[in-house]
Amino acid sequence: MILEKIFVGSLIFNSLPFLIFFPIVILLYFSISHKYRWILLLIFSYYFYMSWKAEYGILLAVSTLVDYFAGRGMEKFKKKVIRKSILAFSLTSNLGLLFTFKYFNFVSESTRQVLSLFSMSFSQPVLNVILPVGISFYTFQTMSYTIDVYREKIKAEKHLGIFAVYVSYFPQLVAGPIERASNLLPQFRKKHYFNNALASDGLKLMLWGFFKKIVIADRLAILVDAVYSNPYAYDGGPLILATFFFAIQIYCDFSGYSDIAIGASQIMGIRLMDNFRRPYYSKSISEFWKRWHISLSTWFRDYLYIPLGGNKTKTKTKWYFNLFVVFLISGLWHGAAWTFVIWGALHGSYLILGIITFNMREKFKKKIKLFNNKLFANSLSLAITFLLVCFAWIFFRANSVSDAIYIITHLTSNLTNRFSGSNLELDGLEIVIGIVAIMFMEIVHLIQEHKGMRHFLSKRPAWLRWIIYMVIILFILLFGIFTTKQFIYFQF
Amino acid sequence: MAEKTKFSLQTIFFLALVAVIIVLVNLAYTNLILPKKTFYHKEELYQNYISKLDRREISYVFFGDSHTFHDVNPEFISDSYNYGTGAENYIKTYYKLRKMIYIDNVTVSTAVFEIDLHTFSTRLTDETNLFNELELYSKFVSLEEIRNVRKDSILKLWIEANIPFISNGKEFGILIYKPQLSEVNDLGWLKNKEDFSSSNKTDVALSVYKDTFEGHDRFSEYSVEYFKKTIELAKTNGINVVFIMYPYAREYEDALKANNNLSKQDYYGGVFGIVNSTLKDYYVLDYSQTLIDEDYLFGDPAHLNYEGAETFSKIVDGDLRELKLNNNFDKKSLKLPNFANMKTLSYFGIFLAFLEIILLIFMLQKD
Repeated sequence: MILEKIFVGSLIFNSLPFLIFFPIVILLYFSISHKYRWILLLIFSYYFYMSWKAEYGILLAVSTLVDYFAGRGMEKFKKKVIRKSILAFSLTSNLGLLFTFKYFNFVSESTRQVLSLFSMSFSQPVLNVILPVGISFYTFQTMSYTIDVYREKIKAEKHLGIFAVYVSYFPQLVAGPIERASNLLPQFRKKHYFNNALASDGLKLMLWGFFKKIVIADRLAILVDAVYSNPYAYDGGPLILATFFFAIQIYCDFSGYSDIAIGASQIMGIRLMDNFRRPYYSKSISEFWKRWHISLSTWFRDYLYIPLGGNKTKTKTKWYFNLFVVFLISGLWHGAAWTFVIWGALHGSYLILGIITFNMREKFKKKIKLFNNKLFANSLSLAITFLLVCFAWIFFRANSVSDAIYIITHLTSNLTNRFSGSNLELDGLEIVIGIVAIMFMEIVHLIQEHKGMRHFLSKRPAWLRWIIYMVIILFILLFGIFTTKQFIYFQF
Repeated sequence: MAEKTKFSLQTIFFLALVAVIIVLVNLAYTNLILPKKTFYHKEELYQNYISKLDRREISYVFFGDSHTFHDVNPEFISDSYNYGTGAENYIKTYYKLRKMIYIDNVTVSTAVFEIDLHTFSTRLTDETNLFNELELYSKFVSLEEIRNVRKDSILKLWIEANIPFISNGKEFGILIYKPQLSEVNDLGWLKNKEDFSSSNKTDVALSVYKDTFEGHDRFSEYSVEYFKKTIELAKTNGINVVFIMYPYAREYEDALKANNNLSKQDYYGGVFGIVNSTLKDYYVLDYSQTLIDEDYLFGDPAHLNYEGAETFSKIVDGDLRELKLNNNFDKKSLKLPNFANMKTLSYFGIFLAFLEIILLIFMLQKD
């Protein structure tokens, strides 16, 4: 009863309950023998997940049991047919869960729309279920485990409890990074002693994640939500600004989450994979995908692109087909809507066009002297890549395909009007604060890109480092948006 | 052991420094910024006003939102006070009246409550207006009571009430951009210098209409509930109740007629249905049409400017006198209820701190 009064809502990273529970978990973690730590992590992870909706715990448990027994079964039975059947059962179960909760209504509605084109009526069934938070993340994580066991890349985990922690590990449960069993599982067995440097780096990473989420992403979201919820009320200026802001918002939101997850885990001595490497510094779309949501793009590479044949195909057309299919599915992974499918298709098309036009572009560059200037060439590539990514984000963020088309066709309308009369929901001062915060982030990015933040900080005296941390904390407190806005990627 | 001890000491020292900075910034905010915010400044003016009263008695107190705040100039209404503030809903009105009676020990003879067409709208109880300004309201409303409305955790509400600088950093800009505080007079009236007649009236009226009504329900569950509580509180304390409808301009009425889905008649049918279930004796002053064609008296289509406020307040003064309401100055207010209930939070805070210390000690002793 008291708990209910003190803590309301789910344990989102940017919520008060999490800030109180997390230190308790850390203290308990290092207070108990490492033999029992998995129990603590399992209890807390389930509590973390079930704080959204208690029933979600059942889904997590089902996914865990299916893949645990699938792994054990594949190790026990050596016959390929049986192993394949077990794998098929596991994949069907996971994808079945995903389909039921995420794609059923989309498929049903799309079928109705297609049939209506042929004047056929179809009263489509509708499932009234709430999409479980992070279902796409943990189903992909467990599928990678089963596939790796099938491929005999890893051994099946014998300890059900530890396997359950692998599936439900709270820092990365709802929005990744999507971890591989080969990286994460052994770490739950290892003895972790408290490490000052690791813990302090972890805390700094968490602080940085909070800054990106609370100060930048949630501030920009106010304007983006206002414009994208009714784009028809806005001219080109606000539409361009909202699209640009969304590109920054989604990066700060998602990479902020990843930073907090990686930092929180690092304090406990468990290393998670990098998920972002300053993606907007990419000079091509293929580089962008090596820097953006790395855990998902490598997942698709290892479990879909390469099995399809990757780039080792007889014809180039087949290679392009493989690329396109991967990005189409990647789009669908993000959400059950045509806007996401188009977003994926756009990225697939960018990559294919990039390959097709590569030689032509290189020849062109050689002819134009200006391209000998590296700064110019790099800046241009960076700007073009960023603009292409932003263009695709329009589909990603728009509420419908028709909204997206409206936005694209009105990006240049009444540009001379600037923002007069537009209700952007974010006043001038708020926009200035947002821009200052983005500039600060870019300075940090530049340092990270060249020397690395750890190196930069280690060269400064302790008092200066502390002042930097204090300023960031104060900046978050003064200018943070504390409405406990969910992270965008939770919906996927 | 050494590593943990070093880290723990560093962490404790760092957190202590952060706490000191938070306290300092909070002090700066509460002393420099908060008094410059209109709702807080107005409360200070009100406290100053009642402290100067020989007997804590006021004949007419006006409650309501920006319409009350701009339209009623108590300089022209004898023995009256304007206690309205911008975007005030009936939740706030209820607690302000309760405070006036039980904490400030002010005897109010007549309370004038606003019942305009937008008064019960969900616009005034949306996320930003529902129960904000906790740095003021928490002084006379318990966190439990606020939680009944806000549904947030007590901890979150406590932080919002006691560390108000959080998320309000941009308000330090007040130090650079001088606010127009002098525009609120000692009797609580806010001077409006705008001139509606020189604007594009139809467009402005439509824009104000849209902002006020579009996307909002006409009756908010919370406003209705607290409206009932407010008039019950007035009734219990023998306060005369007058309902008032403020003037608006012709263009605003046109916008209402063209767009509104609920007729004026049906809307007030609903309002007086609520009133009649609680109160027998009350008065209604409908000024919605009184100045409808005097556009130069308006600051915008629904708020009077300072000239309009003077004209209007003189009319209200005459009408209130005509009602010949008895005062209740001889009546004593009821006993002060126990508003504050911070025990739950304090005990839990102590428990958490104790638990963390135990764990820290235990952790340090291991390995």
